[in-house]
Amino acid sequence: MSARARAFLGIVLLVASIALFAIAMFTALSGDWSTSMYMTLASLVLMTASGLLAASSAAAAFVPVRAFEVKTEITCPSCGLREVRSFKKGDYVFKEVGECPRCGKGRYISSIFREEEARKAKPPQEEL
Amino acid sequence: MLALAPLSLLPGLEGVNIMDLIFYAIFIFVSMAIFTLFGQRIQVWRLLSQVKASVRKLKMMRDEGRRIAVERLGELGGDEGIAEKVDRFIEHFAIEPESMDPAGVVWKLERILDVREQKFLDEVRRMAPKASDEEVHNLEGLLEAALALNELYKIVRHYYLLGKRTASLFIIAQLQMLMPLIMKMARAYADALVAFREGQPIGDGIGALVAAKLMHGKPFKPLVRDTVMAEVELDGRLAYVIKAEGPGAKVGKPGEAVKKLLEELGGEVKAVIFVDAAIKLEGEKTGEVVDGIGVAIGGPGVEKFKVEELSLKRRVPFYSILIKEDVSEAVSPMKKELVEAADGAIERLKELLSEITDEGDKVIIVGVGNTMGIGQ
Repeated sequence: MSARARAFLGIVLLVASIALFAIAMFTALSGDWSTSMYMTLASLVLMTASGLLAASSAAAAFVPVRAFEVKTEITCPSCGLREVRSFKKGDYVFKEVGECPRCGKGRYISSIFREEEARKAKPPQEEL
Repeated sequence: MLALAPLSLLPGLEGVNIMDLIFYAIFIFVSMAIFTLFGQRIQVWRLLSQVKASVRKLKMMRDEGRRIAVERLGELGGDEGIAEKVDRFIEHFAIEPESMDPAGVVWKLERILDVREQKFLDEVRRMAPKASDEEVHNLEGLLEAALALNELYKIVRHYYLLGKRTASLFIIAQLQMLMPLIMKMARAYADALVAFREGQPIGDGIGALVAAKLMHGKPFKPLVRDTVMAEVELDGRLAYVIKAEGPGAKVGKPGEAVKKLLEELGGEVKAVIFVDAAIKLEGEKTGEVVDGIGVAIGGPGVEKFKVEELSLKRRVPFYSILIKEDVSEAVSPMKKELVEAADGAIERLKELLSEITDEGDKVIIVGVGNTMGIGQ
């Protein structure tokens, strides 16, 4: 089972356990203690299963080595034309990389940098 | 059972089933007994399972590091037995010199580090006969990262197994508490693997990038092993800019280079300025440029020691310009904020020169760090 499927199943089980616990409390208030007890125990079992699934999905989603998207920026010092392309093996900063398509003068690699992986927007960090 | 019947007549227990009462009582007593007798064992079991998950992750990182190294060496002419050679390489360790009598220990340590580096480079050349000189240095960095991952994995596994065997809560709890920091370190080394395989500039190279930007287009010459120098005119001052020779993964000998230049130029040098990456604290921004006094050379301290000795002898002031970055950013491909910070550092360098020197003065500027993926 994929990490995503495990995480989804874990959430379903968690929601079911919370619902079962709420029903158990309602049953207890209405006086049926025995049924309430069994439902609470069942809710605990579901919650444990959900926790185990969540832990296993986190382990399955683990990536041992991350590969970053690295970009190479090429600049023409004469006309200022800039080009950004994916990094190629053998690139290095200040390497000369042929003629400029606009002015025909020599160009060089002006910088190599990594693109940040796409992340969900986070609320701004609290200033301390 | 009949004897317990009056219990249900007690206030609050009217109409409660006696069997339920007995069941609740047993449940409470059994729970108390379990948590009293086996509470610590349950805690140990929970902590062990958390550490075990981290050990598994460390093993995956170590195996991946080994696989990447074997694959890259194979591409550069590695023979059939390359996997065994990599296995032997990542088990390497250096024995630190005895420091009971600390006088002269720095030179002993330097000798050990030089021999270690030379041995590693020779071994890489034998393992990858088709590799160019630059690729040999990059491969050495790749193997060093794989070696560090192997060492981390083995140390954590040692304490995990020791804690498991002795069931010592204190060993396991300490290990579990340290795990986030250990995993952060391991993540940094794992991120370094691909950068070294591809020869991409890493965050630690920011000092070398600043020096490269200053010396770009100027004639440069080798000064000491793996280190180059160019004379650059900077706002009316003559700057001797030093960096490791790129674009291979080299750090050079910045301390040795400064020592040699100071000896050649005598008292003419007004200041020595080091530009280097500094590990930021949580809450600080990546790419922040800050000033410092003193010698900013990281590593085992040999190069730093050499320069500090000169500070007393030559009475030359040492300044530093530091660019903040996280430990994981230091060995992974250079972030855009850091590349942009290099220009900010040059601006700050010029400001500092106008504050501490006059036109016509001579200064030494040292770009410290790994110059992988950065030429000059």
